[in-house]
Amino acid sequence: MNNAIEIKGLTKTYPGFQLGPVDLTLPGGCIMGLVGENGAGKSTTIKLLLGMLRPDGGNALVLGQDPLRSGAPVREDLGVVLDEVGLPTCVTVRQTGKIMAGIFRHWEQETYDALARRLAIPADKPFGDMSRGNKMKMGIAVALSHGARLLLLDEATSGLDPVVRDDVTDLLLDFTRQEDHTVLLSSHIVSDMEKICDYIAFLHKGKLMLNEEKDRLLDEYGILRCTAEELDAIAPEAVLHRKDGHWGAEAIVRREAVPAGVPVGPVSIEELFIHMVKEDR
Amino acid sequence: MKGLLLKDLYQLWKYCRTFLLIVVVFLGVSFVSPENLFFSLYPAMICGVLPMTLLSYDERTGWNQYSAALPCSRVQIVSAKYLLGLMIEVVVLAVSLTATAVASGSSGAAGSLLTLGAILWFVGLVTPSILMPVVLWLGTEKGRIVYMFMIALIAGAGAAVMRTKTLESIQSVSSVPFAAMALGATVVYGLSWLLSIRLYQKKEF
Repeated sequence: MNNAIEIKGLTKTYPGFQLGPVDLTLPGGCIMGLVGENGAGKSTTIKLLLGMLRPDGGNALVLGQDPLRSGAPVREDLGVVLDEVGLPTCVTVRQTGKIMAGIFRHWEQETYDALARRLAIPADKPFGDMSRGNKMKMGIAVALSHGARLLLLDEATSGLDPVVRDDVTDLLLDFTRQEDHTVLLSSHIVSDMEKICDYIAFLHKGKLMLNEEKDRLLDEYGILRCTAEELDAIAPEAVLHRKDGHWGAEAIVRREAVPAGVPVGPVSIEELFIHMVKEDR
Repeated sequence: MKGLLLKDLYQLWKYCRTFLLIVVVFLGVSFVSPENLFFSLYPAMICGVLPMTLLSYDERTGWNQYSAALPCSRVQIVSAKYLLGLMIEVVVLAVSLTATAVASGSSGAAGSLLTLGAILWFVGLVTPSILMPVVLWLGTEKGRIVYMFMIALIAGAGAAVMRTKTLESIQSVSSVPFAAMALGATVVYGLSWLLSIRLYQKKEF
């Protein structure tokens, strides 16, 4: 399986912020969660992948093509949902379908209609009058209705209620049932990532701190709860981040560097993310 | 391109109906008072800014970013706006000339209608020719100063026309310089389109 996304040494600088250098690879057929705080560089990374921004250094390949050089043709194969979706506020579901039929070469009207029904998007409501959840559903319905092979979703689940988020994650799982279908999903809601992602990439202050398979990440790290003295006895290189409190200490540790017999509990991606960010502060 | 135009037409119908009302009112007045050119010219002037109004909506809704992520080239995005501007001007031109011809009856000679058409075409295209590259490159917020300047210019030109020009007064003048003006405006519109494409291709979102 070819890589859906290959990023090498990608940088982009703004006054007061620098993204990268970022090196990242997403194999085809997988779901990657791009996790990071607000302003970590997630949207900038996705915009660079879409050719909406020009990098200051490095390069990115999307489905084997440079998004800046290949331009519109490669975007036929991309399903994109941006933070604000971006559809005109006056259009309904039907009108959106007509617009997109004039934009995408392989627009699938039946798929779009079926998705609109499945997601219970109000048919006659103008986009601007819809709730954020329904707006996101519209964006996702469009993204899934033109034979895309790669979905790029920027904060597509943020601000949605748990039921809608569950609908969206189900759709993404359905999408990746086809072998060559890939998803890059950026969010700061880590619990969604944990459910569906194969890979997790952590961005923090523009730097890629981690890019690993989720299962390996969960195998590699654990959470240790003990007294401060017991934690002091562990080799410092085993401790990713520690938090001392009145009742004891808590630390994210590398399991293999912890002496045998020390009980290390499972860590969630969310805990790992929070500890890594706090460690850097 | 077809999808981009359709999206603009939906927005035009939803948000710019007040423009249509103004056009109807002014054409109605020009029908009653065909001797005063201002009422015939004003619809062309204000309809010339409609593509900029649509750009403003695109910016506000985030469509300018979304469209950059869709399989539309920057050339198509810019061209759709210019093509729509032309389509609007053709419609305004046809309606205005028809209204003037009917209203003026036998006094509206073909030559004066041609001259009026050339003036309408000129005033309809000059504003977007200047404003479109500015708004596409800088956005509606930063392009607002130029926009305000153009609105003031339109109002000033309108007032001047209102005071001095009547349909009768242009009947006595040769149509040739006006035709040249219209042709010049078309060339400038074309150059503006090329400049806008160049600027928009460099734009980052």
